[in-house]
Amino acid sequence: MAFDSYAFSETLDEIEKLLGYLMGNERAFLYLRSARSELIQTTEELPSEVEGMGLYYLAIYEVDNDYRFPCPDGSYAVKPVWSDGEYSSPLRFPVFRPTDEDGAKAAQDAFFTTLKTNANLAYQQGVSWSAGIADYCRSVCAQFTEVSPETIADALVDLQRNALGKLHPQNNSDWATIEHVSNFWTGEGASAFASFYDNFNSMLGRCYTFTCDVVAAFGMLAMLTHGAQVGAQKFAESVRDNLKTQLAEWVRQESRPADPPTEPPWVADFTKIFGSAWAVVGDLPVVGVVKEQVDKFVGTVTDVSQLVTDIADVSGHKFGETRADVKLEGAEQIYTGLTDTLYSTYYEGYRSGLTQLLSGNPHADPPTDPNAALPFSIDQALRDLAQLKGAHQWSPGEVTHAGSMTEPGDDY
Amino acid sequence: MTNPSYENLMTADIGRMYWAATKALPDQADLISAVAKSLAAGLDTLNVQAALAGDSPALTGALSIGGDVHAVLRTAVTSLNNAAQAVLATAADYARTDDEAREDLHRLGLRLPSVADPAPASAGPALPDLAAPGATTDIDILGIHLEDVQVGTTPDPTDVDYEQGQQMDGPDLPATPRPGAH
Repeated sequence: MAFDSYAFSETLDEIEKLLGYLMGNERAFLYLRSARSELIQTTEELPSEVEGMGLYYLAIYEVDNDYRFPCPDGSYAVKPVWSDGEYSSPLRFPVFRPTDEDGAKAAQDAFFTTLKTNANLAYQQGVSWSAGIADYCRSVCAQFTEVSPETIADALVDLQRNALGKLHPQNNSDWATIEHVSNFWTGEGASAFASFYDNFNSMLGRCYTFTCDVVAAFGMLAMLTHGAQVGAQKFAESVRDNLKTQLAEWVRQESRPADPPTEPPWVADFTKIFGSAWAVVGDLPVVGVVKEQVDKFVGTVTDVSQLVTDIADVSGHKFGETRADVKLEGAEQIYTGLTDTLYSTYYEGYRSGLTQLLSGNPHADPPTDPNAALPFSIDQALRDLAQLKGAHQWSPGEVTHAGSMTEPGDDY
Repeated sequence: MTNPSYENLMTADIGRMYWAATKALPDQADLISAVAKSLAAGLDTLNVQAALAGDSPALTGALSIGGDVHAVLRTAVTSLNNAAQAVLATAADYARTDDEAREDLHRLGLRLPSVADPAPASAGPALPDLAAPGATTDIDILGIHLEDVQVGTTPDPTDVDYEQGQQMDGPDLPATPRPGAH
């Protein structure tokens, strides 16, 4: 499954919109329930002679059968009929029976008009409540949704082909056939030339292995990013689908659903994502003493090719799925589940992967052989590099002299 | 004058120097130059992606390693260019001062060039500090080439808790109307 950043962003916008509708339903319904309770309490306290004027109960739909909560999407506009879920008692309000006087009828009409206007206002409050949620979710996910694993993979393939693939040491350490001759030179620049020439192959080897570290690091980034992206997209889609199901249920039950259908949302399994990411770098010939053993690195080219092949196929990696233990019932729970999961599971999971990349795979077994290469990590690579620099072994030296390197008396 | 074969050149020290200065060292310089160029291009792309990913220490650390490798390769190209010229100058010195060297030159039918031939390989420009936040790169959009485009580091999500839910404590529910009574 490929990640589509545009579709992901649209899904978040849709969630914000649907969450507003759901909160609108809840607010408008809460308003009507609260108003009814207040009115019943009020009328119970009325003197009996007032009650004798003809108090009775009337629902909105009995006055205006076309009334719906003002949802911009008509398919989710709820007709408030029942007081507590489907087939409970109708949501009726105490009113006074209009007699033949026009005034009483007008007062009843005014009451229901105000009731509907206020319910609409409460609904709009709910819709406004969700404004900004999509932007917040985008900011939580930005560090992995802005990245392009495919672009990284392409860059790594190019590096493998055009850099690593050409950084072979020469088969012959005296590759320029100049070692024997140069031994007789004692003039300016002769020792710098000899040092550079002698260490040239080692330099190539070090450049090769440290470039492998760079490839491995960004290979892991590609894998982590892909896992987080696909996971977040599937999670957002499952939240959106859940919202649609609940909104449809409001319409069907003509009330707040007594037991709204919810399905635990899909979430990515970051343990598996980490495992896949570490697996692609698992065969790399990394660090420690290996960096000093130039003759060993030739045999690793194939491994790097496989690594790059694995990374280049990021879209084909499946990380498994799991179901989040997150309740998605009602607007506030969905909001909390959405934002907490994106932050804790995805953002922090992704950052945790990058921390592992820096410090090493916490699940790797320590090498039993003290001379074995140390497990891969960027910290370890940086330490190795600093050690080489400290020992003046990092650079092969520099040839700055471009003139003759002989002195009078040097043998030919 | 035809160029002597590799085997012939290897029969004399001045032949070896000639081969090193005009073939082995320049070829290696060209190769390392190409590798450095490819590495620079790859690191440029990865630097942008690291910025988009928030420039975490693991990524900036990897980029600094790549930058160090590139610097070594770049220096190596310059060194190989200088080495080729130095070996050539050394051979010329022997040809001027040593009879045996002159005889070898004559036997091999060689004439030493006075300056580097082929021309020195390009070491390419130095890279900026790749571990620094953000990235500067060139991009092509719809056929338009834009240079030195700044790519900022994607920030962490806002540290302030996003307490959207608390907004529900805000606006009160509308007032309840009175039932119409005559």
